[in-house]
Amino acid sequence: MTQPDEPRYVQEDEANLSVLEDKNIAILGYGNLGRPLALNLRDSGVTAVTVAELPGPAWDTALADGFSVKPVQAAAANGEIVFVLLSDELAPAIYQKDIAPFLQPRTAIVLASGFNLAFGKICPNSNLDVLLLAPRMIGSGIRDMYRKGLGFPSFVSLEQDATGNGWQILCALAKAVGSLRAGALTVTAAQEAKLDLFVEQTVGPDLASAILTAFQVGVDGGLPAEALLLELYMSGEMSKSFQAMADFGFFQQVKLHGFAAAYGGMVRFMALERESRSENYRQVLEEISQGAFADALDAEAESGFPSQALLDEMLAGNDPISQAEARIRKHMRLGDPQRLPD
Amino acid sequence: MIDNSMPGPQDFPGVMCRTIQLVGINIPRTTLQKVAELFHTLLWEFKDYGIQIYFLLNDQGDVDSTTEWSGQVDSVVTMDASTFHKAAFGKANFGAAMVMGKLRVQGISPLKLGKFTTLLKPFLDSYRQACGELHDTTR
Repeated sequence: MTQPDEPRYVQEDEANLSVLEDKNIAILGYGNLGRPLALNLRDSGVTAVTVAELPGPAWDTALADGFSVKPVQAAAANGEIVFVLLSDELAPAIYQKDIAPFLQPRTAIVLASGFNLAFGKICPNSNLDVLLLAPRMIGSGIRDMYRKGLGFPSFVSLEQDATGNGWQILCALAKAVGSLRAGALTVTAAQEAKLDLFVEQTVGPDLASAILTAFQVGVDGGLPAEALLLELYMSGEMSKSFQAMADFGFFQQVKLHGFAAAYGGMVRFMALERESRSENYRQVLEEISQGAFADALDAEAESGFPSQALLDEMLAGNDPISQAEARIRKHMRLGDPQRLPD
Repeated sequence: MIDNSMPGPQDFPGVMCRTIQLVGINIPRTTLQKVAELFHTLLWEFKDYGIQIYFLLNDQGDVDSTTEWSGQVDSVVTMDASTFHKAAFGKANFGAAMVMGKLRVQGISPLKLGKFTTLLKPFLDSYRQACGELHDTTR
């Protein structure tokens, strides 16, 4: 069986874990994604898992979790299935130097992001299977859902099938990490990369801007900062509304709120000017599709990541929102402790 | 002990022009030539002081400044002079200012902002140096 041409859903009954029997699986990168995927694989009975890391905290964590840990080159050489779970901007150089020269022919390499395949940053040898298994879930959620017996959606793609077994291996991996309990959708690496970047660079900044602006205007207008943050996101009501979009539908969830909320939202929404936003989003998508963003990321890396300092400053917590958050956490118990990873 | 008192509205334009002059000395010419791909005229707009300083940069990496400019402006940075001063002396930072809407950059493509960020630290370093020179002469 091969990957279908048209996008379609992949269900658990399509996967057979027996194709993973006796396969040496290497997880290159034991970070946010590598750790939950490795733990889920093992808990699904896939026991020949080796972790590859640089000496450091992640290496120690993998050892403490009971995995065999090796340097990247050794793990790549021994792996029959090799997960490359490195950050997009660092992966090409590491792949070229420490992974590709050591891979055996007919190895399956598995990427969780389509970025480097889509923009030609990683060009695997033709004697390899190239699989995309891209969870639509943050790392802690991958583990959390698995432990609760639930699944998480993934995008999957057989990008290159040197062995003829690539699709079966991909389905088995998607099942073993727990994704197929929910189901997967076939999406090419190029599509996955564009989808991921497009939403990150449009809805992401708009959402951040909306929250920050509401906070500033509200506080300037005399609303209590802590109460405003609870209203905006810290109570969890907003995330429940987002979850309700997934559970019941984008518009159907509105019915969970009162008429005043729906009416107020409707009239304010109708007054919004959306064309300039649409134009901006179209430009973002075009820049992503044409590789301009990938090139900018390359330039940023080649210059030694000059934007990192500004980003660090933004995220340092020296701002009124972070300070208000801290005051809330000091006095209220928020969140679900069961969501913490292992 | 370093005198980090803030220049008043009378002195601030002079300090900023000296800052820009020092930027031209302190930043490698090759870096400035790359920044010149972003803009030739950058307007620094300090709203609390009501002051505008134009940072002029040509393709060769030559730097100049002026408080009056009738030509084309490619990019605009808007912030308070107090925020700039606090950032230079470690009492605030550009990242937090940007998060809270106190620093705005217009006219530079988002995908080229990385080049612009290479200017920020040297700018603050040069400003501290210019402030020091001002305090030395007024002592």
